Amino acid sequence: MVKEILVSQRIYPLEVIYATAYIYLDRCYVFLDRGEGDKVSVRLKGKPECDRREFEKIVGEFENELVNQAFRRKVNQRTREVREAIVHRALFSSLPEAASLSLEDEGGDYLDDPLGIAVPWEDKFGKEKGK
Amino acid sequence: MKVELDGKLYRLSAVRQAAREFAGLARIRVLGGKGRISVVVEDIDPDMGPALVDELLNFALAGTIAARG
Repeated sequence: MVKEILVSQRIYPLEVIYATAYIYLDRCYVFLDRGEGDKVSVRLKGKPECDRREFEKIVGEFENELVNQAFRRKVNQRTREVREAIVHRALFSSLPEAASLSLEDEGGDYLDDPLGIAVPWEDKFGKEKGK
Repeated sequence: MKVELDGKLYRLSAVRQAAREFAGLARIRVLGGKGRISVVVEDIDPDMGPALVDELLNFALAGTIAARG
């Protein structure tokens, strides 16, 4: 049982094809070759213990997984900056030396209140009139 | 049996590593050049049969994908 799928790299970049192939290496034999133009020929071959019905299921799932991996890649690209910012912040805050150095660089400490945030409302604006 | 692989889709180092892993089961020669990788498999262990070549290529592809990260 062999099935050839021609995959356009314009729709499914090579890294998507690789990611999908890697998932299926334990379920079938995967062979890649250059197709016409930008296409990659993906040849799937059933393992000896795999019957026709199971193989057809694998082929269908493989094609679905291509779509899944392409979508994952797109989301991955779209959220890269946010993920990097979160990791940078998490790593930075886990270094006490770095955090204290940063405060020293700015010439302040945690008791400073330059914006008057810690001052009670009544002290700042006086008590309400008429009560 | 001779198999031709595309040098842009398979890494030569991964194919060579796969050949080393399967060396005890067949006589395997890997030749690289002109964007193609030729794999010649001879004297296959009778217990393994032709599935050995398929397993070898799967192994080479896994190594290629792992190397590309």
